[in-house]
Amino acid sequence: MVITESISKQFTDGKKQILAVNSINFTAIPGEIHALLGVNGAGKTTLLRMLSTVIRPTTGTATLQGFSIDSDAAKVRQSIGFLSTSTALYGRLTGRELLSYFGSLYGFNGSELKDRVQSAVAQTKSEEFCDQLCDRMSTGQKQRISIARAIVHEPPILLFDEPTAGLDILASQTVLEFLESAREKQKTIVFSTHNMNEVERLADRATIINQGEVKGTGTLSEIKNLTSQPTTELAFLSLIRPQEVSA
Amino acid sequence: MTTGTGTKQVFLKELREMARDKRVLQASIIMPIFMVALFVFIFGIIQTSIAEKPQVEIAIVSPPGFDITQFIPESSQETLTPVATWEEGAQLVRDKQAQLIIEIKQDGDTTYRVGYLESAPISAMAVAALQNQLTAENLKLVKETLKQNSLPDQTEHNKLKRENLDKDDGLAGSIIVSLLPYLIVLWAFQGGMSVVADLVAGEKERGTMETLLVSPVRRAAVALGKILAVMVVCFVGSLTTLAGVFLAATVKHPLTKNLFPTGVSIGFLHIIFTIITILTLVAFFATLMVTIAARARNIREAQTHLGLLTFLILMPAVFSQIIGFTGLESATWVYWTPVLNAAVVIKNLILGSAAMSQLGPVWTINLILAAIFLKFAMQLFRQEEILLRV
Repeated sequence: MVITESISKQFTDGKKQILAVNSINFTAIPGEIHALLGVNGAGKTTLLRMLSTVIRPTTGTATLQGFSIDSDAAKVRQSIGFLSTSTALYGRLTGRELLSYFGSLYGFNGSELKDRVQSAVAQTKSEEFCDQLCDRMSTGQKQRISIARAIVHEPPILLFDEPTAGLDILASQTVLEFLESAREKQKTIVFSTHNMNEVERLADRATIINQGEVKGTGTLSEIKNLTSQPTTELAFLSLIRPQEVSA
Repeated sequence: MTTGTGTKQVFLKELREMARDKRVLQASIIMPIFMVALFVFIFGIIQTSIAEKPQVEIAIVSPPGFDITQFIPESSQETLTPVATWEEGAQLVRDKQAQLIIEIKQDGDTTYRVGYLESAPISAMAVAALQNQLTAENLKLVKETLKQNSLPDQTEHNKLKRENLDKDDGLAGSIIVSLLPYLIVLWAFQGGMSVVADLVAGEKERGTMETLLVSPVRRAAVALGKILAVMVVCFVGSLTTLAGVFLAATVKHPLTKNLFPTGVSIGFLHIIFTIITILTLVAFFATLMVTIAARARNIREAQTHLGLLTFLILMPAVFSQIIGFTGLESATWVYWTPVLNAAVVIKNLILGSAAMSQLGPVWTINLILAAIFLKFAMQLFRQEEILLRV
């Protein structure tokens, strides 16, 4: 489970203070996919980075799997599988070597590490190319290895930051199918996107973020009811630009 | 997870990646070997030329009937070309067709007016040789005069006996000794430079840093793992240079024969001390380079900063080549000056003459600097800027 409590992040750019995330509250529960929906620069990536403990909140906090991101950062990191916007991998390692490397960083070794790697390869259907150098893989293959990397330690929580950005339709399909299968395994999934089709297909709940603030949160039906809009897209637009969308 | 475990994993992964990177192979093995081979070839030719004595062309203006071969030994390498006037001979010297112009005038005594080029080494050497020859000739005349007048010969009252006190071990007698420490320092730095930008700033640029920092491994362990990997490349670059020179010294070839007249024989303890000195130096270099690369926004910025740093690092190393001419070699401050101290001590070690009083400050200062930059690097990795400053 993921629970955020008035979490905020302020950056300093010279003399200017930028409030990237402003007192966000939401809850994501096991067996559900929670979408963070917002335009570019809304604060989705900053929020996910705080949840993954790579940056610290200015105020507020969050707990993941019962562990605080402030006081139990190491345990939080053990509990999450994080996928960043880019599919960046180590080009001179094979897929299997890369997975072994990350598995070892999570403290696995010997036969247990091999089993974990094999399981991640199987779950992402990467058997055919996982022994190739990452530099020689297609974008879709790289994305599968990226997902395998995120789940090699079998975390109960998945945080995916725009996992389909820059991918073609086939590669995107792989990611979406994986998220659906992870939901069936009762994982807690938080993913950010600005793609309405993905939200409508996957999300059990959504939190709409604009300029660092929550504009609406709940199931898709609740959000549509809240805005009295017939579609998720119009509901989203009415929340972030209320003056442009008529009821 | 302990810091040590994470360090080992990061270090081994970096080594694996670097082993597959052609740039690392080029910067830490191929280029040092190529440079050593090039220097041995060039200095071998120079040394051989010096040993064989170069041909000297002398333009000479002499009075009619003067025996111009009188003061020039028949066996010498000099070729005499009679010319009509001083101006004609001087022009030949300026045109590099002759090394000396000698105008001989006789009015009781014999006067030799000599024209040469100070800027041309062979010309300057030839005039010095002529000076010695005339001094010897004058001494001979004095001896004959003393003998004819039955006077005691005191011309050899003060005698000079020269003894070379260089030790027989190391690379004593080789002109490459002054160059080798510079090459070792150069490749210790260049080797690391070839990978460090990619290893740290490159991770930021490619986006892999984020996935690495999300893992439970401590950030200090990530920094340490990368520093150790850079150290290995720096060390391999230096050691390849050192091994290349010693290998060249053992090769039986006319070029290396003149370049390494006493061969090579360095004591085991001196080899160990040289390796320890190089290790402390590469620890300093690796921590410094990782700190700079961690501060940079991207590979390009890291390379720019490291490129500028190269000048700062190599200046003391260059100075180490000529410090022997300044008399400062034994000054205390030399052994407390980073890079310069390591280059001077490495030179002394390969000559077999380094003392512990010299090694102590070098190792101490290098390790202190390595500790300072290690702290900086770890601090940078702990800050959010390691991820956000792109």
